[in-house]
Amino acid sequence: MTDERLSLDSEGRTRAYGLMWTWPRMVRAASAEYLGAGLMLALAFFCWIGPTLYPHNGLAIHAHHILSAPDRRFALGTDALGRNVLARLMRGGQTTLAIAFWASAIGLVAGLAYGMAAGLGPAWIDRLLMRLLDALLAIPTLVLMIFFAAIMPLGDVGLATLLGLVSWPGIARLARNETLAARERDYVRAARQFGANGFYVAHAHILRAMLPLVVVNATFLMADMILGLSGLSFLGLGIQPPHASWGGLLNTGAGLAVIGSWWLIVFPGLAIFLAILAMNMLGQGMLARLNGEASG
Amino acid sequence: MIVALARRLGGALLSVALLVTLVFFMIYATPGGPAYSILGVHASPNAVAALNRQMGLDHPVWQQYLTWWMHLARGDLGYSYTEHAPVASLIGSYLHNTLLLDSVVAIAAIGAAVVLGLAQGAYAHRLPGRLIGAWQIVGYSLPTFFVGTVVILVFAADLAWLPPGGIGGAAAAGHPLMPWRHLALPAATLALPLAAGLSRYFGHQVRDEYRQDYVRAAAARGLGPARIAFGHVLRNAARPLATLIGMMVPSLFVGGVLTESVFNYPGLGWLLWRSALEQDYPTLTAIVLLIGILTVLGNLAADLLNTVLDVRVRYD
Amino acid sequence: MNARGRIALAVRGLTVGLAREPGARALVDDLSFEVAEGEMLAFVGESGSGKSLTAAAIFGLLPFGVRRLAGSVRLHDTELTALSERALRARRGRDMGLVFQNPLTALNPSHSIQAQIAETYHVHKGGTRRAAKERTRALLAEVGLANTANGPETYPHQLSGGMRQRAMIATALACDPTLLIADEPTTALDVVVQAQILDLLARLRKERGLAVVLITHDLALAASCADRILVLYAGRAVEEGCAARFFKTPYHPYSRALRDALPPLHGQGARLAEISGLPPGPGALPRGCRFAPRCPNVQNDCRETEPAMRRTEPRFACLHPCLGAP
Repeated sequence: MTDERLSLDSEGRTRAYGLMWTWPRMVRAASAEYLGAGLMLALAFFCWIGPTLYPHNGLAIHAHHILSAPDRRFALGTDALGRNVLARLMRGGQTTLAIAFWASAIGLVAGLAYGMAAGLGPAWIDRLLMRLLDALLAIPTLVLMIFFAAIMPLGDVGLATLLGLVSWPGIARLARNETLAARERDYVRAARQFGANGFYVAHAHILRAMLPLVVVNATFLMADMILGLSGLSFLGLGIQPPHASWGGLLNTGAGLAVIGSWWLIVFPGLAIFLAILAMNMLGQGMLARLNGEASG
Repeated sequence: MIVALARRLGGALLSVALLVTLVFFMIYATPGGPAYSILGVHASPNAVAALNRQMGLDHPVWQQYLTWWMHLARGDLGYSYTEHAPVASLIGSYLHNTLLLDSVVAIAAIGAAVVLGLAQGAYAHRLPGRLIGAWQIVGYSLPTFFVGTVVILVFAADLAWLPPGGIGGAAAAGHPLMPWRHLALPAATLALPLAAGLSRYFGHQVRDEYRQDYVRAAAARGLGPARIAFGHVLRNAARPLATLIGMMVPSLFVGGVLTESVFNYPGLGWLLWRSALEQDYPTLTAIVLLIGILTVLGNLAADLLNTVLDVRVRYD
Repeated sequence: MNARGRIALAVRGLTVGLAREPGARALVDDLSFEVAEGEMLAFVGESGSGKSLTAAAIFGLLPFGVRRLAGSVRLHDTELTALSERALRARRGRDMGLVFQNPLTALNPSHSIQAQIAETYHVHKGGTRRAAKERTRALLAEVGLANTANGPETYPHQLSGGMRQRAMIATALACDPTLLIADEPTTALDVVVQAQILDLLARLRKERGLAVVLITHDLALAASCADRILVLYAGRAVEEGCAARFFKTPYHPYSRALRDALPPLHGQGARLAEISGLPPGPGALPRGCRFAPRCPNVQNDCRETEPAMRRTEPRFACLHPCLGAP
């Protein structure tokens, strides 16, 4: 009975809320992680399958249709050069999501390696690596991205690498803490005493023990990467025109929106928001499940 | 306690030293180097070599590294070739604007987070708690640059209630409300995701506190909900919040870069953006360094605040 | 039994269940009992038998989603269930105190002991800061924390387990309540300290004429210090009676099994008896008697009808009680 939770409400109030209980329960049934995963799948479908269903060239210039509002011909309107916004949104989504994905993958691997090295190595290595990490963590990721993007012009692969390489400290810290915790668990100590070699222990026990948490944080990392890449492109430092990207579309649209072309910012902005929201919901939902609570 | 303080202070100093080293090697490892950015990509190798010699970039690494430290120690952050001014003096006014914006944002975000978090924790299983939870995940998924452009579109362009950006210039001088009118939109934009993130964390903290026995015990002693919330739960839940506020400093700068750029607000973030576009190395480096140091200081402040708030640390 | 004082707490037909499914079988079902002033009643039962829920229901502090479905709770002349939340709050801590199992978690770690006692006193009685301070000092001395009483502000983590529990009792007694409910007050403590805390409770009961409800899973402990014992099984009272009689001749098979599971104090006993199986969860209550699936005396009618509690002594709820020699 020690886990009884306190409620400050009298019974009367519980009764008053009785009816309202039905809809949050419905929302909970379709819990956050499924909504998030569904949303992400829908976005991926939009970006990769969309172009086959809507075969329009995002680079083609329609000189007679400059800045036309969404209509039957251009579902999401055209930009200042008369290019089809919907088609560009699909192309831009491919670039944005793909780079963000690969950047997360790079960050994940780098962070795991660094964190586990710190956690498994001798104490002085741990202290050194963690101190270095602290210093690195002191510079916000986006600031680092801006710094490097400014001093070297980057292509898509370069961007993914840059993003991945500046974003791993969070994962590294997590991996290190989890490794240290796992190292002290009885079954891991037992395995070591039986003479299992370090690599085997790291792989079979420690990595597996922290995998759920790592997966959750990888989804948050992906959300951060989408935000970072879009932010960078919005600042004119990421994916360069004429290549479309969601952040870049927002960048070129921002000035024109003020004079009435609202569709130039609303749709790319919504796309970025939905992609980040999807990853955050997926992560939150999984995290809540890991912690054994209902999400919401 | 004094030992603990000294250790934290030492740790912070070490972090700063590592940071300075890190930034040095980041520049050192840069392909091309600063000379190209000053002279342009198509500069002749001879001109580049000459400039490198002039800036001392042909010396061995360790010598450059020492020079770097000596310049920093004198407060010499270099000379901006694009702004034609020493970086240190350049940064001053921008830093002032950023600190003004960030303090307004921090106060607003923390205030909102405490109120929302308490409500969320206290009504964790009911409608208010769920609504706040839904708002939070939306709030911190919204990119500031998107919110910023929409906000300008609606409040500045369409409704024309508030200026779309900047800080007003000469026309605004003397008008008592002017700086606040210019601050309103960027501050609201920047505060939104911060308040969402902070209140989510704080709300979980509060919810966990409400599950503690001492809350049931306090209720069993006849204390009312308000007294329990403000007299008991708030303080215990606020302890980790101090750490989080320290960790908020980087997010302030990240959001700040984007927000200041959207609103053309002449702060540090805006300067960082401009100098990145113009490849103004000395300014870029100085800002990165400054932001890093401010972050370390923010964490240190949070640590100290923690020590003050936690009776267990204080008395042991 | 004969020199019984005024009835302090009278609970009648208390039924507690899930708010969302009022039709489901209750977590505490039709529970009735009385505690007189100066008397100690022990609730004995396994975890999940509804002991703590009963305490929460008396205080009107049931967890979210759990509700009192029926029954009355009378404290002296006041019907607590008829009070508004505000009026009930004024009674908590003033007329009735609650002591928790783990004083480390039940005391706020960032407020001093003194502040927590004084706060309770101040909320109910008002008065000056000085009066609250005096009161706090007297209470701490009374529960045996003379050093803390005269010393500086003390935080819960600075005290040992036993001292903490004394402090917890002091907070519960801040406003001289007439009823004290102690929920497993000694479970988290070691044996020597346990005895000291029980002595303290006995002394307070005698000196103040306090009605005490002791909630415990430890029959031996209940038998050693309570006047009367009430055994709960899966949310229902199965037997109630004076401690001495109860220990000598338990009637209900569950009570008897509990008693037989205790190691004897003297001599080399035989193998201890055990009760096979597990108590049913609230979702899986059997038809008829809730103990039937584990009962050695079980017969067919046990699985059909739920036995009612006898109205006269000896009070138990069983169709086929143990009547033979113990």
